[in-house]
Amino acid sequence: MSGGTNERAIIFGAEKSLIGIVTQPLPVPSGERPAVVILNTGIIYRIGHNRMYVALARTLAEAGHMVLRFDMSGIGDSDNRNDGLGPLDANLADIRDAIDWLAATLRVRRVVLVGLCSGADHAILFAGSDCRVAGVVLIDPNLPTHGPGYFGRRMLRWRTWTNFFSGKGLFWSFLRRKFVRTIEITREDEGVQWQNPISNSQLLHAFQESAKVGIQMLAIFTGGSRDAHKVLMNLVQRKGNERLFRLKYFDRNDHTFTFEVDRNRLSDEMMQWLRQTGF
Amino acid sequence: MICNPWGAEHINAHRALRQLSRKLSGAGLHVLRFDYFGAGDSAGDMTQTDLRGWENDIKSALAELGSITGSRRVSLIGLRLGATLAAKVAVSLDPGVNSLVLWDPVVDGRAYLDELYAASRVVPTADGQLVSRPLVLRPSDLGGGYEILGFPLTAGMARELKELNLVALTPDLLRRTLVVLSEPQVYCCTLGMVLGASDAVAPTIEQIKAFRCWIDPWPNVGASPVAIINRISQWLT
Repeated sequence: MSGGTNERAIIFGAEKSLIGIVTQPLPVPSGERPAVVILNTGIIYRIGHNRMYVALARTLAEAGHMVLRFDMSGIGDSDNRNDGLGPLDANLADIRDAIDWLAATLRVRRVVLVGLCSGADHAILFAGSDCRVAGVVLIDPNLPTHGPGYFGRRMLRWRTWTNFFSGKGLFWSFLRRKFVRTIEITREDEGVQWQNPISNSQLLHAFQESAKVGIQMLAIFTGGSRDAHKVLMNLVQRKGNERLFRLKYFDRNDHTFTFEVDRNRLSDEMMQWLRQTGF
Repeated sequence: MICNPWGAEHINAHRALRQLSRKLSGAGLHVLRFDYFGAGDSAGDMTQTDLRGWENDIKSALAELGSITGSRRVSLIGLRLGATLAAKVAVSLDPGVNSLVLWDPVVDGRAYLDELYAASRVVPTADGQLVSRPLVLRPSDLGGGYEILGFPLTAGMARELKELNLVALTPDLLRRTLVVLSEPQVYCCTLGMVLGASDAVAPTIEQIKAFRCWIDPWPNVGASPVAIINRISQWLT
């Protein structure tokens, strides 16, 4: 317990295998204000890189939000699930278990999901499937590399066909990449090859579904890239959906928020967004 | 009871220490892992802590473990800074602790600080590259010191770290002590020589080549120092 907040460890899920920490404001607020659920980044356990989620949870709780940060199955202190789900489905089931616990125990009706990197992917993939999700904070999410109608539009371009018959373009470069990688992975010194297990179409559907059901989104991108705006706008397409999105670029930030000033900026940005969206 | 390392090392090692605790509990031992004040899930933040406080946290955790389990015999396991603090507590409580496992302990605080500072000078940039840059100073009204690998290391904590000297503790170390080293370390060699020359103690010093779990594991995400975990478990049981 510190200041106007209280923290306690919880065990939840059908098998009581998931472990989390609830940070509550004191006095405990009514269920009207959305609770915040913070998801793991990769396999970093629930305190987050540089312990950033502990500080964030306490700041949010001081502002009146209940916060749950927890370890998904197989990460941190949580055990693996025994229901035979694959890794991604298990992650999404874990999020549902977390929201179920908040609803059943603390009478929470709405939640905001917060995730960095893989956590952001899990947040957006889950968001549209559960009406209790009112908002998502996506920090460096993967974005679909191409939107709806992309291939159809390409097929109508003259250049697509000139490239195809001259051995250039995406089709041939895809084959070359595939061929080269097939050779490389046979080398003994080859390291682990990482591939995002989430497909483009899954991401595309998730972003569109999220916009369709009116989920508020704060998307933050670290590093110098400024491509996200165009991609997100292509995704939402429908007029009026722009109001659901707030997009911020943290140009000088590294991906894991190594410096205190960057973590404070993230916290401030989230607080401002929560206030402005009426959360 | 398991004593964590400091800061980023703690986060990186969390998975391995959990695996160690499960291995030990599977072998029939009660195990307690806990977070020092200002670390992990515990209250406070790193600017409010000091090493003396963390030693007291270890003593409180020992009392809690005894109270929960009713066990009269206790072993302390520490990784990196946790090992050094565990050794200090074990010496101060003797005969309160029955055995001690020092896993890649911080032997010389000054060298450890240099190591932390050197690691912090190589930082990730916005585009994911690693570059050299000066240490980031923290405001004096917030405890001063530097930002080290994502954590505040206050001037006060740095002073305490600098004074750590595991070699000086060796005459009083427990007879039943296991020192596990993942890799050859100059300061651990010094420790080994002192321990070896001492009549008072008969420690077991072993070098077991293994993954250094307290270092940022990328790209070996999820790897664990299985050989060390198995050895500690075997030695304690």
